[in-house]
Amino acid sequence: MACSSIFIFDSKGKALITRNYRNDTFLGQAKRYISHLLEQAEENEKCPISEEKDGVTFIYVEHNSLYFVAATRYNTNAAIVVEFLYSIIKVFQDYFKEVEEESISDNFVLIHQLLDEMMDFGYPQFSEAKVLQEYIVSETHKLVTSENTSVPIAVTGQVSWRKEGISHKKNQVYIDVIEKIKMTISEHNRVLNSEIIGSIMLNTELTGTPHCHLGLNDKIRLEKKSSSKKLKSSQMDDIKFHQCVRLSKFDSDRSITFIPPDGPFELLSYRVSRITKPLFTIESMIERHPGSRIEYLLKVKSLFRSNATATNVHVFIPVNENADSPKIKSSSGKCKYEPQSNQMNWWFKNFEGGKEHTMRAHFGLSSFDRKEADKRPITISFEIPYETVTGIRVKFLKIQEKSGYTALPWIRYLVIGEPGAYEIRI
Amino acid sequence: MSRTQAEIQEIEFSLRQPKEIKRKPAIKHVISLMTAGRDVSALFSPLLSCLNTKDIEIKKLIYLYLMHYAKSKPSLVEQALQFIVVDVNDQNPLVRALALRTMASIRVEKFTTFLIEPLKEGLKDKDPYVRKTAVLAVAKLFDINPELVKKHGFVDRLTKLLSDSNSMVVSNTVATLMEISNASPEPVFQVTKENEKYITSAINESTEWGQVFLLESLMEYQPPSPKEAEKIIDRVVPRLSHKNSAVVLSSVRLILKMFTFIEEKEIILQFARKMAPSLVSLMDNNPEVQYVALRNINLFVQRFPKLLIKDAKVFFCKYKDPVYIKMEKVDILVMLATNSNINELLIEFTEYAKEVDVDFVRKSVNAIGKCAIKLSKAAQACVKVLIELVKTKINYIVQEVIIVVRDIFRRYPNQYESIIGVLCENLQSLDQPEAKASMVWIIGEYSDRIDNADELLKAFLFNFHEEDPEVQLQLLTSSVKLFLSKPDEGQEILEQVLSTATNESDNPDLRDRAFMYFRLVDAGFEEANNIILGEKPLIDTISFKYDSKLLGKLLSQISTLSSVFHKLPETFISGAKVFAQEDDDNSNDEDDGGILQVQEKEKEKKIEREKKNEMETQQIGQLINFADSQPPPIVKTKSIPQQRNDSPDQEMFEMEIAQRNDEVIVDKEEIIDEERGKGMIVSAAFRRREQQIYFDLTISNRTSYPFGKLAMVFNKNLFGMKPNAQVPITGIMPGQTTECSVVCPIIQSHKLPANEATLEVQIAIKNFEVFYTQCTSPMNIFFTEDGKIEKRNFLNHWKAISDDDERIKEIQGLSETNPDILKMKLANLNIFFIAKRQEGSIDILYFSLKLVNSVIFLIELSIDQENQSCQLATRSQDTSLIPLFEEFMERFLTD
Repeated sequence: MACSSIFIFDSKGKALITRNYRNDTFLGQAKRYISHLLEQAEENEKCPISEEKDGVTFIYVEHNSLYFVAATRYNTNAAIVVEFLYSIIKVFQDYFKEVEEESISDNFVLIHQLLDEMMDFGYPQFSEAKVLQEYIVSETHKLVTSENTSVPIAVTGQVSWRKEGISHKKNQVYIDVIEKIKMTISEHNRVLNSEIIGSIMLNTELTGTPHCHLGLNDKIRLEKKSSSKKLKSSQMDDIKFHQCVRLSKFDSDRSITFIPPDGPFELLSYRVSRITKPLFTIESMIERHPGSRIEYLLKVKSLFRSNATATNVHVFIPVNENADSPKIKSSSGKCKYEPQSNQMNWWFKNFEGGKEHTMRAHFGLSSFDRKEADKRPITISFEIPYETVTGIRVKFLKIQEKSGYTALPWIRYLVIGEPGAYEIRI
Repeated sequence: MSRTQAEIQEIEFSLRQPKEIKRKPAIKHVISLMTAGRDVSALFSPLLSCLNTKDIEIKKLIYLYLMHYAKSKPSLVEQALQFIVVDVNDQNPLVRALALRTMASIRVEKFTTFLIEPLKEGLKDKDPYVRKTAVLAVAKLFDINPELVKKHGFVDRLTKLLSDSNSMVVSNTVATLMEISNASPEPVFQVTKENEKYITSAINESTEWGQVFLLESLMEYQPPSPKEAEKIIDRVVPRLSHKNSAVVLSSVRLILKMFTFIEEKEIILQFARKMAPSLVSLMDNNPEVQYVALRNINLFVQRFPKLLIKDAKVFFCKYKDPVYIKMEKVDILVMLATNSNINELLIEFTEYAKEVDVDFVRKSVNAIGKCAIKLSKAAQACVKVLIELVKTKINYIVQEVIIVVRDIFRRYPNQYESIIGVLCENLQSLDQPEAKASMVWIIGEYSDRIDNADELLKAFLFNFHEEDPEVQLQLLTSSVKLFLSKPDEGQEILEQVLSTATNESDNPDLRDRAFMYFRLVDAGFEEANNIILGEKPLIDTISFKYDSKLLGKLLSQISTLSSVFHKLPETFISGAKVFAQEDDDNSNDEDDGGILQVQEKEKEKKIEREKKNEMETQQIGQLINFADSQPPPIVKTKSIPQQRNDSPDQEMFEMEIAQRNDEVIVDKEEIIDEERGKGMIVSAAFRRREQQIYFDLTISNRTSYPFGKLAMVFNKNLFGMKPNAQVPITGIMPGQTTECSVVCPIIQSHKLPANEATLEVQIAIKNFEVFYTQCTSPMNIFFTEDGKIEKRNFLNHWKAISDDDERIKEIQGLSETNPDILKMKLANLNIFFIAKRQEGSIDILYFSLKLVNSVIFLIELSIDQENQSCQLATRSQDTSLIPLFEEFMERFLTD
């Protein structure tokens, strides 16, 4: 079952793009929906999927204050619609970098062509920007070639993500192993919840049609078929692959083989949800004297290997809304009060493993302010290069191409705590 | 005007430039004006002359223009068609496909015949891109003219394409066949054993989107043996690792479907264990996907309650999660609560209860209560947390706690009464009826243990008249209980309440109940004691789950909107085919081990027994102490669909009613609100369907007593509608909502004199007392289905009416000016399109309609696209109704 139409609205509810695939939903209905949505958006995020009048269901995704809205009259696959809306955004990003009101209205001719190609009669068709760019061109000055434009074989071919005849002077592959850590720590420094989302990003510059085989160390050991009934000490809870990876091959002998797309892409992602030990902990003492002042004493400790160093460490400490006259002292790093977001930002360029730093702060509170204490958690954002939390390592990347060239792999490792993902309750 | 014209002329000049490079920007300009809603149809012929080009981009743009104007200006398209037909045989496959796609998208029936031959060729084209475009063109053709598809045997042609070597062709073919099959009265396409082979082998090579179509089509496959079903699952399992959530969820859906063919529970569980981590991983996605996933996980957990328990932590709420995600997560956490993880969950819930969003806080408090009811061993701990929460003294937390505590008391009588003291400290802050009623119930139920119960009750009595009926009734019952347990202290209160209820209240139910208690107590203290303070059935946890039949149906809809709404498709899709599915008997195979299963079964039996008990006590209960024997809805948070509170049976009932396909959907208006109806809410609307007028009613009972039969009469009205039957409702339980319809035929004698023309219908509805109200009947319900006049007769009719009988009205601010859409929308109202002509930028449309009293209206609608306004000229033999009609049209066109 399919989508009926796709709309793009700006933040004021003006329709920028209307593409009606089935003539059974109308702009008027969508306008009514979006105005309703914008009204509600001020208080709370509206649920992304809702059934409106006349049996039309709307699904929306917001991006850069633009609303990508799909309408349908059918019992459509909800996941495919959401994924498709995101794939539209992704293709647009590949075409004109910033997806914003201006780029949408400047490129409407292109967008109409893209929407025609990406979806037909409400069925998603094709969403590989790299290949689309071969026969839908954005600049008028590329007119020269347009007479000979033809459908790239990749569109309907087995390897839809890779065009033919790619050639690079230097054949190389960059491999980034990135682990994003999410953690929630209680006020008593107990890990309540931790999760690592790892991903292996590849950026390939390879000639022809290379067959690749990636070898990882045994940390990536998923429960093997039904042979072992109980979960052993398997590390990964789940693993998801880019569509180029031969899933059936992985299923049979655990080997990761693929023909990569050209350029950067995410080869695989994995998830580990067992409790891992924290990378940072915080001891905090916060004394509130309602109506007069509030005092903070904070100690942040790094618990990873001492020969590793975290960079760009930001500790965000929530401060009451009406606090004033800040006095802040920190043993190292810089600490600043950011009144617009009601928090302190304690910043370290480098933070070595096994170290601890302290900070004291004092704020005045207005004598009228008797509100509840702030319940927002302390959050830390950071990056730790050359490290992985799971211990995963790339052992080899074999590349075979009929011309027989050798290619160089470059490997990087990085652990990231994104803003808001690593929280410590107070 | 002149500026626009000048602009158009300028463009036309550029379009006539000899060099293509100079023409191209002009073409783009035209399209940009078109998408902005301007009328550029005047530029058609210069544009057409540009069509003779090799530049694909120009072609695409002009085709876009054609598709846009095809419906409103079919004559123009006819000229263009010759170019398109040439393109169908172009060297370049991209051009061939483009031509096919364009032709099929010109939704004008007249041209469909031109499409047949190129389409047949397209399906055989050597280029897969053209083939897949042709395949979808068949779907488009079917949408415009299903007969042609049948006549030319396209279904067979498509079925042959299932063995195509290209996976994109196969996946689109499957999607098209499914669509045709679903829209046909009988299935035209079945997944046979042979097809299945092609489909499964195409999955490996398809794009992510194609994989979803292929997986969805396999839902229709009936594997001949359990082994075969297992084989399918084996092939699908690797898909669970796909990055695209639609592929993952469609795989889950298919696997669950295949489970219905497998009997061995061990095998089912083994595969189910593989699905669990994939579902959990969907939580790493963007919030929209998370939301879809959570709604589906909710269903999955109901089916396999044990599998995700170890992953409960994944569903802990992040501070930054949108509220709609948090609400879903809490639901799932409650379902995953066990005796071993309850402590962690309680810490979480307590944390959530400190957040700022009131709905979410209440939901979290409620979750603690639900856990207490679910896990008897953990109830103690839950209650302790609830007591801590009461100490915050935050108004909405305290009220929510009181509501859940009442349920805890009813689940575990005589165990946690120590809380009562804490609760009693917070009586002043209560302002919600439900919380108040709960508190009063608690005081009454435990009046023997609460020392100052009489004083507490007295405090509530102070405002007796202003209280909600729910609270009043509860006060009455609790006063009786107090009197029975402590006659000395309670006598004065009871006398006061009984006298207020019998003499001063105009709520018949309160009065009747008061009289009944009065006589009961009068009859004998012992008897009253036995009846009123007798043992009551315990409530249980069954309200957390859907009934297994419904659950089975919802599980077969995983990933679709149906699974997100937790509603069956036919309840929200107009005209959807009822999902034909045999009833899966999967209520019993949801557990890991044998012992557990036995326990589960035992429990089910027990629940059934309890239900029976409840039914038996109900009759007495209704009279005596109704609120005690009817489990009150446990969840009451705004953002949760109402439906979830209802019992599954009722849900099914509502669905059956909603299946009817309303052609014109009119929102019901609330004709009796809660206050006026003293707890009865009636919403209603007049609707026309199946050539009859229906009065559709939704009646909610917000009182705490059941309604019996309802009577309804209409006063005389404009056309003489009169309900031909009583409201077909035999009773509505407290808290329940029921829908029903009454046919209203036209009775001449029931007509109002024409000079009092109004569309308001005065209505009287009686349950215990009579409520007078009125409901507007939208004019279109009086337009009959046979109102179409032949084109040649129209003119005669038009001339037969003198110009004096024509009324003209200007309408500004049209919401829709596209004549084709208007035609369609009006046709839905039984206003029939006759003809159309054009004067400059103004489209003039002619319509006819016939009223139920056989009066014919002839209508001329002149639409001015630019100013979004129109002129409505109406002619009729009977002009008295024209003003009403004009009013109706104005509302309709500007809405």
